[in-house]
Amino acid sequence: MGETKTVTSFSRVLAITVTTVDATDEDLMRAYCAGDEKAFRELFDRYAEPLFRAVQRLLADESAARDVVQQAFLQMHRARNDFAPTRKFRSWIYTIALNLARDERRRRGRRREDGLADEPRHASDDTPDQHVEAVQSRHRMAKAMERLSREQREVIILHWYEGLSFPEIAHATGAGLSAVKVRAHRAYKKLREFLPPDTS
Amino acid sequence: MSCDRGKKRLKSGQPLTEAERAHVEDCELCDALIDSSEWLEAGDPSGGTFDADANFAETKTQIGQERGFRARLRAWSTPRRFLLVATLMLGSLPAIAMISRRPMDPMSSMERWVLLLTVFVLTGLTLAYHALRGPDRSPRPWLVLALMLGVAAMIEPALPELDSFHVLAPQMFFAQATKCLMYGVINGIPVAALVALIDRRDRSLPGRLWLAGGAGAATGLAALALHCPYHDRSHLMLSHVTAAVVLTVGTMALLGWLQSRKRTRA
Repeated sequence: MGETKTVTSFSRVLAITVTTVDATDEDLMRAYCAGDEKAFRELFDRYAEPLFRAVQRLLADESAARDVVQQAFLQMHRARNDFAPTRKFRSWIYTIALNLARDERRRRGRRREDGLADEPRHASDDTPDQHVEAVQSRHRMAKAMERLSREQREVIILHWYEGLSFPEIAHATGAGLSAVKVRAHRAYKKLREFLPPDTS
Repeated sequence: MSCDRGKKRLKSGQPLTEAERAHVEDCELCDALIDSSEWLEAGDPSGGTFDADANFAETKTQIGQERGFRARLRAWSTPRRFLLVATLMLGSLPAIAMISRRPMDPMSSMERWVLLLTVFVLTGLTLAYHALRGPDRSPRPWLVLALMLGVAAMIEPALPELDSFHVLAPQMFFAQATKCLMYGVINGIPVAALVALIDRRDRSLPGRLWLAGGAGAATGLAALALHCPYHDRSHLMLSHVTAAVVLTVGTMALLGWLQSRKRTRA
């Protein structure tokens, strides 16, 4: 009994000491499950912004994206005892955010389907012409993305913009690896068909 | 060489190696990706600002509110929460059988009874399991689950009618139907309430909201199969099936109302 207690405390200490920048996401998640609050902050710092961008690309709504990120971390906290150490944290947290974003999209119905983000980006060194061109590019891309199916859109966002690998996308979306590849192929091909011959 | 490696190099603006170029020439996916990459970069729809500190503070506030009995139950792993529901569901049925089991008669068919109980229990457990799966798991199509509950609710009236040993007197028809309806609903409520209590989602869509009530409905149907001795089809439709509908729709409406009330307050 005493030995078990010592082992538990030891693993807890071990888990707590992994909160460093070099720790893997899975180590941090284990540390968080063992009660290390700093590990949560580190995971938040690593993933909150990429999740925000991904959800914003999906929902085209900044405030909804912020809300989904909060919900995703809250759900991560609630589901912490479901996290399997063998699973990749990155695809797990993307699964949560993606499911919440899908729910949000369904909840809002087709209220905002233009696919444009709230605030157009304007780099400070852009000339007015460059800015107009950038806005037009984004508008065309948004229109083209709108013509893809939800699944195809998700794959492009996760693959191209978020840099997830195909196995990670398969985990995050709950689809098979070959199905994800087929979706990606069709999506990129369709996207090219929907867009003008060049960006200029 | 994989498609992912090629994409990484393409995104970082580095030239492709010989092996990567050879892969791209043979790979239709990479070919399509390269074709649209310029547009993807130019038309990135993301924008806006993300204040990590403010968002973190709000998230921590929400997590800080996760206290008490419900929060502790919700933090249990999914298999453990499912086991809790299964224990309540499977534990309540022997209790019902002991306290208020229908009188067995020469017309009763044991096979029919076992079939009904198996269908109801399996349906209840399946719906409870899917209600308890959090957003960290990909959802299953709700239509399949709804169909499952529909089949469970309609299976008894759909079976060939048996000659009933217990004859329902016409003047007692509505009184008995009301009794059975109440009995089914009351026995289904604990399971529906428990599933709703330990569901981790705060904002469910209608496509998921009915699952807790559905699990309760299946439990109610099982309780009725144990308790009610009548095989009369009109009685089954008016009381047993109606009890399942009342539980499912009622729980869904109640949870929807609670969610919207919580949202309005927030």
